[in-house]
Amino acid sequence: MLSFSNVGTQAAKPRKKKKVKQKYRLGEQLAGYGLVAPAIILLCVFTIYPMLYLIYSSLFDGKLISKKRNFVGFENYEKLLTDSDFLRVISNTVVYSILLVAFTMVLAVLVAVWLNSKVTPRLNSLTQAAIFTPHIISLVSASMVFMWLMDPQIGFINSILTKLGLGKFPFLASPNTALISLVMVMVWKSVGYYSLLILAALQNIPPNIYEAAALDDTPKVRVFFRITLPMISPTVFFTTIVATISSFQVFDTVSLMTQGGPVNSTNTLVYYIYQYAFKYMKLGPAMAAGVILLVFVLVLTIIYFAFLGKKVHYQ
Amino acid sequence: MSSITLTNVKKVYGEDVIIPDLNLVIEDGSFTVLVGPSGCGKSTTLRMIAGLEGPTSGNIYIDDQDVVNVAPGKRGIAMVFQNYALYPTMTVKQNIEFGLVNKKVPKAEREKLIKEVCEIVGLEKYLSRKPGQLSGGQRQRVALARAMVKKPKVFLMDEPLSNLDAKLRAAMRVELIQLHKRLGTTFIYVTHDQVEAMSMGDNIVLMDKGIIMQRSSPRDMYNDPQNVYTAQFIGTPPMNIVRDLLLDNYSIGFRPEKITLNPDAGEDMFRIKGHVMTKEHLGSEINYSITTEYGLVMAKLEQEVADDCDVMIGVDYANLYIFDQNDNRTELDANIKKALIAVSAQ
Amino acid sequence: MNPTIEKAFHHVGKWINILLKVLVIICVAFPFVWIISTSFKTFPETQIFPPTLIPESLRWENYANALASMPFFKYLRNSLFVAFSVLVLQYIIIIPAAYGFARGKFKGKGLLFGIVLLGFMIPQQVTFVPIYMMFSKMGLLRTFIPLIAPFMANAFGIFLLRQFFMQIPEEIIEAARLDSASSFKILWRIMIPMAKSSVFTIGLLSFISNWNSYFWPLIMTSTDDFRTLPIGVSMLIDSEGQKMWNELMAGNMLLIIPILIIYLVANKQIRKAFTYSGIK
Repeated sequence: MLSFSNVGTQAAKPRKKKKVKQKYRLGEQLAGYGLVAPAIILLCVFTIYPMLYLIYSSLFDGKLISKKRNFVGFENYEKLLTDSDFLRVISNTVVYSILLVAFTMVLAVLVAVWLNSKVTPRLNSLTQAAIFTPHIISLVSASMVFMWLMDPQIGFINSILTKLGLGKFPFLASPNTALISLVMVMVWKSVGYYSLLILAALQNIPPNIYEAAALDDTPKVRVFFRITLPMISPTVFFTTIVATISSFQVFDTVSLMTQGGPVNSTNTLVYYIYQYAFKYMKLGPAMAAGVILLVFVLVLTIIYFAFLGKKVHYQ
Repeated sequence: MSSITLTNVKKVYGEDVIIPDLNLVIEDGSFTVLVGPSGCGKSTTLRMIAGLEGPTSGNIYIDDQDVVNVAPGKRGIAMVFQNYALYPTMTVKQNIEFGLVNKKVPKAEREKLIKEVCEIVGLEKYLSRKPGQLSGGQRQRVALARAMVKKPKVFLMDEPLSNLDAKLRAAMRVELIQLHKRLGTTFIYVTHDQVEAMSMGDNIVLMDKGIIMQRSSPRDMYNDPQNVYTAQFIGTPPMNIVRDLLLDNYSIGFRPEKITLNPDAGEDMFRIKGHVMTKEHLGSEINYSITTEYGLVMAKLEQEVADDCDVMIGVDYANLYIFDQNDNRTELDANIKKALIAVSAQ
Repeated sequence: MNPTIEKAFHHVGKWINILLKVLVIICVAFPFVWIISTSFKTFPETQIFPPTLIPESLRWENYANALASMPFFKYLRNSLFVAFSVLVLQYIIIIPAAYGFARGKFKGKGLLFGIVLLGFMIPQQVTFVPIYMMFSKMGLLRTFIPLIAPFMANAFGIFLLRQFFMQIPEEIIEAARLDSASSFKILWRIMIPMAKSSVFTIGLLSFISNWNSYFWPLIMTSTDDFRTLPIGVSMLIDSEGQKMWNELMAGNMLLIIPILIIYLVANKQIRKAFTYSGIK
C-alpha cells in the first residue's frame, strides 16, 4: 500500500530555534513613546502633580507665599466640616447644582423635542441657532448684562414685572433670591447647548420606529413616553452628570455678580477656595476644600463610567 | 521578477499558533493562489511576505535576500487590499503617485509611468477624481494601478475581488489573468473562494490551520487530491466521503459529478443503494441529495430521475479515491478493490 | 371630527407653534438687544424707570470712553496672542499623541491613556491653587506661560482625535507603508487630511474657550501686561462707584462682537463642534 506523501503532516525537520529580533518593532515601541511623551509630561505637570500636591498639602497648615508649613493631619478637614460658613458654602453649591441641572435638563429636553418636530423646519433651525448663541459668549458679558437686566431699582425685568402689576423682585440684592438669580443666568446660557446634545440623540432614533408606532396608531403622548424618552434616556443621563460636574465648579458668575454675597448666600465651593487661597492667604482650608471638590468630581465621574460600561453592554 | 522562499516560518499571536511551521517556495513568474477557509493563515502568510507583520521565527527570502528585517516599502513588492485602501483625501493621480514621490522618482518619469499604467487599466479620464467619486470597479483599478506603477518584483493581492458584484468579479478575474501574462511578474493571490483559486492560479496552495494541505496545479487539485480535506474543499458540491465502509477506518470518496444513477447491470462499477430526497435544478445539471445506509450522498448529473424514489448509485472504480485512517490518499490496490467489490450492492 | 374643522385646528396649531418659537427667540436674544441698546444710550437715559428700548440717539462716544478707560488694544493683543498660541501649540502636542494612542504599539499604553482620561476629567477648578503655586515658585507668573502651557495637552482633543484615528482602516496605513511612506508622512499626508474636520473642531472649541476665559486669567495674571480682554472688561465694573451701564455695555460689545461674527459665519460648524464636545 502506497501512502501519498502529504505536505500537511510535515516531517519534522531539524529546526534552529532562532528568535527573530525585529529592529523596526523596537523602533515602533520607541516611536510610540516619543509620540505620546510631550502630552503625557504636560498632563503630569498640570494635572497629576497638582492633584497629588493638593491632597498632600491639605494635611498642612500654611500660607500661600511663606515657606513655613506645619503638618496638621486632618485638622483642616475637621475645621471645615464644623465651620458653619463652609457648610453654608456646600449647601449653596448643592442647591445651586440641583436647581440649575433640573431646570436646564427639563427645558433642554422639552426644547429639543419641540424643535425636532417637522412642522416648521426653517424656523426650527433659526430657533436652535438663537438659543445656542448665549453658550458661546463670555460669562463676563452674560453676567454683566444680567446684572443690568436684574437691577432691583431700574432693571428691565423689574420694569416688566411692575407693568404686569407683580411688584419688583430683589434678585441679587436679597439673600433669598440671589442664588436663584445666578441659576437663571446659567439656564439662559446653557439650555441651548444641552438641547443641542439631546437633539442630536433624537435625530439618531431610527425613523422606522416612529413609522411602526404610527402603523399601530399609537397616541402622540404615548409615543413620547414609550419610544422617544427611553431612546434618549442614556444621553439625558450622561449629559445630566456632565452638567452636574460643571455646575459644581461655578465661579465666574459668583465672582462677577455677587462676590459670594449677600451674606454668604451665593458663596460656592470654588469661590470659597479662591478666597481662602488668594484673599485670606490660608492654604490649609483652601486645599482641603479643593480635595472635597475633587472627591465630588471623582464620584460623579465614576458613576458616569460605570453606567457607560453598562450602556455598552446592552447594545 | 523573483521567487519567494519561506523556511520554518512560525507565527504566534499571544497564545494562538496561527502558523506552526511553514515551508513554501513560490516560483518566479508564477500566479500562486493561497486558498483556504478564514483563519487558515493565508492572509497572515501574505502579510508576512509584505512585511506588514513579522514572523515569530523563521526566514523569508525574496530571491536570495532575507527580508525579515527589511521594511515593507523596501521589499520591492506591491499589494492590493480587499477594501482597496485608497487614500481618500488624495486624487486618483496622487494615489498612484504617492509611492513614487516617497521614493523620490523624478517628476518626468513619474508622469510617464502614471500615463503607462493608466492606459493599461483605463483610468485616464478619472485622474483628478477622489476615490469617493468612483465606482467599485474603478476603485479596484486605482488600487491595481497604484500597485503596478511601482514595477514591483512581486504582486500581493488579498481578496481583491471580494468587494465587487458577481458580474464585475468575473470580468476582473479575466483581466487579472491577462495582466499576469502581460507583466510576467510573480503574483501571489489570497482568496477563500475555491472557484476563484481554480480559475486564476497556475499554482494553488491550499491551507488549513496554518498548514499546507496540498500544493499543486488546479488540475491536480481536482483530479488528484492528496487528502480528504483537499478533496472536500475543491469542487461544488464537495466530494462524497463514505467512511467505515472498509476495514481499518479506510474511507472512499467520489465526486458528485462522477456518479451514474441506476447503471446498467453489466457495468463494472461500485454500487450503493439510495433514496432520492431532494432535487435541485441548476439549469444544465441537477443536484440530487440521496440518503444511503452510509449517510447522505450528493450527485450532480444531467441525467433525470423521479423524485422520492429508490436509486442505485454507481461509480467507476477509476473515479474512486481511497483515504487511509489519517485521511491521506492511498492507492486503490487489488486488496482494497476486492474488499470494495464485496461491499458493493448488487 | 369634521375634516374642515380639523384642518382649521391644525392651522391654528401651526400658527401657535410659530408664535411660540418667535417668542422664545425674542426672549433668548433679548439680553443681546439690551446690550446693544444700552451701549448707545446717555448715562441719564440709563437711569430712567421704566427703561426705554430705543436710544434717543446713537452715542458712539460710549465706545470711545470704554476704549479709553482700559488699555483695550493691549488686552486685545494679549487675548489674541494667548488664544492663537494655544491653538497652534496644542496641535503640535495632541496630534502626535492621538496618533500614538490610536496606532502605536507600546507597553503601558493603557496606563498612559488613563492619564489622558484623568486630565480630561479633573477640572482646573480643582487644581488651580497648586498650579498657581508651581508657577509662582518657578517665577513664571509675570509671563504668558501660565495662560498657555496648561492648555497645550488638550485632553479632550487627544481623546477626539484618537477616536477618529482609530476609525481609519488599518489597510490604508499599511498601503502607505508599502508605498515607502515614513510615519511622519503617513500622519501628515494621510491621517491629518482625513481627520480635517476633527482637527478643525478642536481648534474652534479651543479658540472660543480661550477667548471667553475669565477664571484662569483672573487667577494667573496680576498686571495689564498679561491680562486678557475678558478680565479687562470685567475690571470696568469696579473702576467707579456708580455703574456706567452704557459704557459697560459698550465694553462688552467689544468682547462679544468677534465671537458673534464667527458664529454668524460658521454657526452650523460651531454647533456641530459643540455637539462633539458633549459626546464624550
